[in-house]
Amino acid sequence: MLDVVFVALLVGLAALAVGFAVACDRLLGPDEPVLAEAGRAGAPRTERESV
Amino acid sequence: MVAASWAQIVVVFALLVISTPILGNYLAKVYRNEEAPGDRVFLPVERLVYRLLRIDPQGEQRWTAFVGSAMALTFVGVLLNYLLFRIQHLLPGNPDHLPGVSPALAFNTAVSFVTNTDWQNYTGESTLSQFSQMFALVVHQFLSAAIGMALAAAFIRGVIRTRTTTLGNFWVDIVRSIVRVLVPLSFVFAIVLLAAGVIDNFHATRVVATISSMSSSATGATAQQSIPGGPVASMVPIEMIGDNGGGYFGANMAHPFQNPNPVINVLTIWLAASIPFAFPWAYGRLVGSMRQATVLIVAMATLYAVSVVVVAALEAHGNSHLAQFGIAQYPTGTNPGGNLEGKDLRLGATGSALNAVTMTSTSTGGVNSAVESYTPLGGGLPLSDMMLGEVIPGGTGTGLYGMLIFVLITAFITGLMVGRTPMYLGKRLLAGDMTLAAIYILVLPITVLSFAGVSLLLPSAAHQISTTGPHAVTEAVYAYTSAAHNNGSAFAGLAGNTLWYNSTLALAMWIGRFFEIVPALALAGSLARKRTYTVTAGTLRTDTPLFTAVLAAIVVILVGLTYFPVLAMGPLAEHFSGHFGV
Repeated sequence: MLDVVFVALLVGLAALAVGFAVACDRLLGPDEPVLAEAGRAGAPRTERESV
Repeated sequence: MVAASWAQIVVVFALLVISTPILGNYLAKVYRNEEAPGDRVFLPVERLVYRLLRIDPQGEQRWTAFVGSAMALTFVGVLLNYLLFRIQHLLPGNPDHLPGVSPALAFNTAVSFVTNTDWQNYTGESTLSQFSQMFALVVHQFLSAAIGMALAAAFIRGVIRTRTTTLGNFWVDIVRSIVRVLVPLSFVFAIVLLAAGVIDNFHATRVVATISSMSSSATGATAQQSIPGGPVASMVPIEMIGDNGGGYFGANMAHPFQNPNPVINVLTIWLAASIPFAFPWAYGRLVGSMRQATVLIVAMATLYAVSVVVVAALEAHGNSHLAQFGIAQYPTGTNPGGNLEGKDLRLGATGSALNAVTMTSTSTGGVNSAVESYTPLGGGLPLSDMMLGEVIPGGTGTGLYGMLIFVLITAFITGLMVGRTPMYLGKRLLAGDMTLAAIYILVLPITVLSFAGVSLLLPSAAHQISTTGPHAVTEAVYAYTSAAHNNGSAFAGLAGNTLWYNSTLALAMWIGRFFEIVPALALAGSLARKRTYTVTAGTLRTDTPLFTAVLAAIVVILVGLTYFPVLAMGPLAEHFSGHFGV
């Protein structure tokens, strides 16, 4: 019985973490279309060499 | 004897000065995915793993996919570990015929090791089979450390990339962290430990008659001792390098089979701090500004050094309560002196203090002494080190992004103070960024104080604490601080193998892992999307000694604001009531 409880608890915790991630993503707002498109295309690696 | 004790501290700092640039330069090459030493060996291994696991090494992930991958790996890991612990009596590698682990303890231990906490509510050698130790614990000591390193790499990319939505590939970073860093280092140091006398075998526990029983056989007195076996030397390196801390034995680093002499004590302490200090150096290389790395390293090292020296001095000074019983606490040729209650005489008060501070300043948590037996302030500082969020220097990777979040907060506050737009490395810091940083800072205190408060109020939970008064407050807060900050260090006076503590400590560990990772990676995702503005003479500089000092102050002040009341009720109240009769 306790096995079922703990597995259910784990599933609940995972769902909570996923929900939290979704909430944080909404907080940031959607990606600008141009960036989202670039991300789908394989992401430009526009890393700067120096600051 | 006293000089030898303090020499341990000097040697650890010297080793860190040597290893930080070497390891830091190497880490930078690993996460830049460029040519690195050992490519001829490591590249074929990596390609094989990518092919077997169907990983596209060129594939990039948005922050949500990156953190989702970490969650998926953790979820599956906890589930498999739980199952393995429950059925260990049916599996091979169990020469002592240990039974399956109870559900609550299995859940706690599974979450503990998969989240890099390594809190242990059990005695390793009498609870877990050798198979469980190797395949459940050690495997996740590699994986959980690699997750922290991958997250740090993603955070760095968030800082250095501009106008993009992706942060790299979680699976590639995991594979490279394990193949190029964790496995080679663990392999080398396992051999060193074997040479030093750390055991590594598959023996069952052997019961032997002690010499004292032989000498007193005429009186009929018998004394027996159980000598455990096990693959220890192969576990200890990743326990330290990965800042895990969960040991094979219940006594952890106080066990002579794991920590046979002061040289190994120093070596393992250095191992625990080596990668956390190397990551800021790698960060400097990757952002192209070693001045930024200097800010991080100096802030981390200063707070760490102050903590080590203060705790070592407090413990070396001794305990006034022991003095009133006539117990000698002054150093002699064979006695290192100081408060030796609960400490290993071979290492002395100083060697123990160095260990306690390092294990709590990193996210390691391994102990070679009973922190509960420290002087009130001496025990309070390791607790405070964990409360700092483990950023001095913190865990493998986690310490770096934890400190970078403090840097962003400092840049925001100082920017507002001088009336300039808050910026970090040319990126404007906006309200959304600070909201995520605030969530990151507040989640842990809320978790720790809520669980600790309820535990002290619940009679059944409070009964499991061996003491009362301020010391009990410290005990409860220490346990949940250790769990939520994914540290694993135990104060050593809590009988935690109950349904309440197994469940709530596991909850605290889970919250401490994902409710920190999510806002941190979201912040990295936000930074990656931003455009970079030219740094001008009017921009507030974040690479100066003044900024470093403000950063260190803000780390301490933020923790003080959130935790000072409970520290006042715990270690501070105990100190003043014990020493000054208040």
